[in-house]
Amino acid sequence: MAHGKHSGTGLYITVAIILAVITYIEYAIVEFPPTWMSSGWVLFWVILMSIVKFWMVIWFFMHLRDDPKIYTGFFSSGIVIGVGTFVVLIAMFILPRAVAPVMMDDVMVADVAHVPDAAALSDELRALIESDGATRPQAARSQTPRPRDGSLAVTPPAARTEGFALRTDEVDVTPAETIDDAVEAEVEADEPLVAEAPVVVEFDTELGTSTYLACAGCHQASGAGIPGAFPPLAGHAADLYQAEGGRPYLIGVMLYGLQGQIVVDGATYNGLMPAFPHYDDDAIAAVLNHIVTEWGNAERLDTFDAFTAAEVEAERGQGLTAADMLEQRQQLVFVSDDAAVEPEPDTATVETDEDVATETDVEEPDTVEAEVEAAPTVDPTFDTALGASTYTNCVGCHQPTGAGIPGVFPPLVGHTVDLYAAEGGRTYLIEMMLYGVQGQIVVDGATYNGVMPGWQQLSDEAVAAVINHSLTEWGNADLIDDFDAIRAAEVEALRGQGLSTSDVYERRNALGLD
Amino acid sequence: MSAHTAASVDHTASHGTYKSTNLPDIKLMMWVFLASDIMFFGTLLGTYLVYRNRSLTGPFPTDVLDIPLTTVSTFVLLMSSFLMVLALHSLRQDDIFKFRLWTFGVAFFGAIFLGFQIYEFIHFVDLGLTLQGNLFGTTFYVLTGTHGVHVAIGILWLLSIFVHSFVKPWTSKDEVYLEVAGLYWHFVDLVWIVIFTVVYLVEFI
Repeated sequence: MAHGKHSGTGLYITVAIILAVITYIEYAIVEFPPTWMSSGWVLFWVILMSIVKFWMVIWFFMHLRDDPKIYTGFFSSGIVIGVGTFVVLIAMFILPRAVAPVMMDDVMVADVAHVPDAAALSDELRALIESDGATRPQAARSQTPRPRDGSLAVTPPAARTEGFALRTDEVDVTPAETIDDAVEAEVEADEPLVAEAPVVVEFDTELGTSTYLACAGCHQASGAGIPGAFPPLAGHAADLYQAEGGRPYLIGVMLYGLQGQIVVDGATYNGLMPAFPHYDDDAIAAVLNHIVTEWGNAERLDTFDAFTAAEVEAERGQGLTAADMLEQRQQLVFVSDDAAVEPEPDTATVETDEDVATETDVEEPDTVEAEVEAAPTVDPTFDTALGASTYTNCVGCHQPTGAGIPGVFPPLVGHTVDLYAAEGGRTYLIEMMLYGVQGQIVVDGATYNGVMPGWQQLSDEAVAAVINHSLTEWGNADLIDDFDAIRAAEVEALRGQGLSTSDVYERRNALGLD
Repeated sequence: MSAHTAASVDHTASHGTYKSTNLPDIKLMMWVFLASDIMFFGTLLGTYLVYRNRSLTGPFPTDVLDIPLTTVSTFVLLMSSFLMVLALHSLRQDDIFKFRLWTFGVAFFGAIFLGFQIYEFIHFVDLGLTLQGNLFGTTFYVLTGTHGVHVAIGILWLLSIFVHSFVKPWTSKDEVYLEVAGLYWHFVDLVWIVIFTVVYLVEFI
């Protein structure tokens, strides 16, 4: 044992005092940050002090200072691999989000390769343009550094087009240039454009991204929506933002929801946007900023003035309904001609409602009749019409067939019956309707992880009817031996508990399903 | 390390000395274990950070974390590390009374720390933060809970040394056995230094 340099306890006492003092300073600097120190510097000092503590414990308390270096070697390799794992994890999961806006550049560069002129280019240069897509993210990353507060610079569309024109020109004029030269020229051509009047997007991007997870079930992570049910946000959200009256409208949709048939880029959508008044002002502002600038939307904007929490707060308390928001939507004046063409306000909505009613009437009676014949023991003593009409709120996610969407929304076919049969399942079904549920669930071995919003705004009768609907539709009635319809009074009794989606999730787990 | 150097190294702590390195196996093994444990905690901490700020529902870190309380428990753990070096120092001096006193002191301080953590967990659950409730709850409990288990194992280990010292009196020849327990204990302290900064302090900056 090579502990020749035996230090007395004096050194240990000194080290212990320093460790205690550093811990106190860390506490003080975080709890009472000096006014002249920015939070970035506080973070820097706290991390630095932790590293000093870490080192002091290893060096003196664990006496690596005096021991053979082989111990240090072993431990260091652990630290290197441990920290390496850590860095890779962070890089895999956090960095891609941070550089996501840059991806639009890839798309645009790829487009250049498809312009007619490209056919005339030499193979060498075509290869250059194609490889450009791969090298570009790095270049773009260094050109548009993201400050810590989450702001990012976006080049306005006009400047970009100019940039590409410039680049293709150059390619045409100097076909014999070496690849290196061309790349240099491209970088030179790009740089001044970024500096030229960028639209600066500043908001809490992290909060926006995390809040959007609640939207992705319907509007999808790609912002593409689901045909026929949920409109795309890519492109469309930017058009709404630029429309006259679009700004308060967007906030209103978040606060009050939206229901009714809408048309976006010639396609019809008729899902239901639930209201999110329970989200705080910051989260609503952040998610609006997120959708207006994501998926290349920022590039469609001439200017961008981020939504603020105060603005959201101002729009609260108007007591609007989802139908009011549909009306407000029809008053919007879109800036560009190719934006959404809205249906005529008066005639279209009336037709829409009828369409929905007839569609459901046409499709579902067949199955209902079949079930009634097959399972005469089941007496659907509930308002089947109200159940069917309320279920139109659910089709976007759970689908008209009750099959759900794999990975996101669980099927109702077969499944609601199991819930009903479970002990406490009756109560759970009602609570889940009222308060929503969130968390990963497993149904018949398949995993689902969407968000079920709460539906407290529906009447007791409607909640009861739609649950009964889901328990008797799609052959579910055959699976129930003794059906005792959920009653409005039961729904009423379970209101006012103020459960969170995670509370309901816990109750679900307590049901003891497979 | 050449054979000459190896041969010249003194054999006071010759228990299980490996021939080629002339180092106590048990101590080398502990360092290797600590290195692997660093990777383990690195992964847990990385997971915590990946999911940081991604909880859709509360409670959120700033709703529940209590910096003054945790500063005190951090201080307690640091001081237990200090007692640990005193215990080892006393054993090397063959001062058995102090060795027992400090060893018991380490376990006692560790138990106080664990008490703080148990109080914290119960309090957090009361506030609605559960293992299944949201991402913060999941990653927080797994990370700090794993650390808490390490502390608990350390306490049991030190107490067993304390008890064993009465059964079969320890002398400075046994120092390597206390030393490896000490290394483990300091490591647990190290991990807490990182957790305290990354999980607790950073949330309030």
